[in-house]
Amino acid sequence: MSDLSNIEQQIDAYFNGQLSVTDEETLMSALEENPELKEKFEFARDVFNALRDEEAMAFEEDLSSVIKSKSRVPETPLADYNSPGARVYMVISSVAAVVLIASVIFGLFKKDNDPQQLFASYYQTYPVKELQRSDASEWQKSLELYANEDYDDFIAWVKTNTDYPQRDGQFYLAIAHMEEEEFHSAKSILNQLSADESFVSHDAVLWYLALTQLKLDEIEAAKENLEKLSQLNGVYARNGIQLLNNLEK
Amino acid sequence: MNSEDIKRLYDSAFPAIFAFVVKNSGKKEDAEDIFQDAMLVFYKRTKRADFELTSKPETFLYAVARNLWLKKLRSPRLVEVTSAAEAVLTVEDDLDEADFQALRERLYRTKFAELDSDCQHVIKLFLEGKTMKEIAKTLDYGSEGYAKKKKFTCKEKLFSLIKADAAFSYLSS
Repeated sequence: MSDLSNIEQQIDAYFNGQLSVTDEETLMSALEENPELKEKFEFARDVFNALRDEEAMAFEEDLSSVIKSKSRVPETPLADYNSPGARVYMVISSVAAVVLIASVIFGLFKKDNDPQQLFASYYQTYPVKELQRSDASEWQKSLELYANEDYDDFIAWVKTNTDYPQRDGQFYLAIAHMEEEEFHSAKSILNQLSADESFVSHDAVLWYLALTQLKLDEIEAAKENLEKLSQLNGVYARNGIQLLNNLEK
Repeated sequence: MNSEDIKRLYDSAFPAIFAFVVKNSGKKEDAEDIFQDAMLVFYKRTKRADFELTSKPETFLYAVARNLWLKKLRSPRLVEVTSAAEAVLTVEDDLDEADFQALRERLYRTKFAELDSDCQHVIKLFLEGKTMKEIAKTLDYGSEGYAKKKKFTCKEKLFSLIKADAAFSYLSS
């Protein structure tokens, strides 16, 4: 137990729930002799306990949904209309009203919910997250192709290989098709992925699927997916609500 | 506490919290974040056997939110507070270690959600007690060794994200 790497293995086994009671006691004694490691252990324990607290996670999810839905309704923040803050607020509101009226007049002459224009203003390439430059795996190397905008080669790689995380691989493949303006291929992949609600990137899948449908002028299908997306949390859900509002103008 | 309770508390408590935060260098997003922190403290306190609410929930939430916002303002890594503003602000230190623990835990979960899907999967499976062999199989990794390495880098990434967040410092101090 005095060997440091052995202690670290024991710590891993502890968090993995694979340490016997006797070994756990031995580990705790060893940590008492190493304050620095004990501090790291306690931090990791706190983090992992937080990730296991399903009750708190459910509460935070409810809370976040309520705030998201309430944020869509503009509130009047200052009850004291004579306060300096309220006066500034009213001036800003007046200016906003003028701008709004001008926008409505302008809007009579300009169609601002054109699907192609909306697609162009909302679409952004999905970024490669946490690319490990030092990682030599073939999957990571192929992601470098994607990151370098070499979408043709990336598509070819995914189509000729099987040794990669399937859902992530398929998702990046769909985005690569979008980049190549192959929207029917992208839609087909995203449609399949959208059925899997357990996929961590489910919100991103719905978002890109809706954008693809927008590009293909399948407006009702896009709206349907944006509706589903708006029930979720996060930045894609917020963008989804905004885009849906624009489409329904 | 269900969604309806949360909605009622949002309607009755948020406007005052919002007004306080925006009057003290904050934005609407800050107010929403602080409201969520205050709600979490309230929720966790109601789970304690010895918890007794001596005021209205709105009053409690406002006091907690106010204290948290002032603490945040005073954190050197976050917002500069002018000396004039500082003079009129006082912090009643009525939040205990368990409250800060709950808030740190919320931060840990928020940072976890920022990890890419692969990392989230690996860590979730690890915490579910899956072996490296099972993780490698579930996530289509080529080998157990790759899964082990991935788990290590994801764990380290999560810890760095947490420690790099300014909130971690003020919630830990």
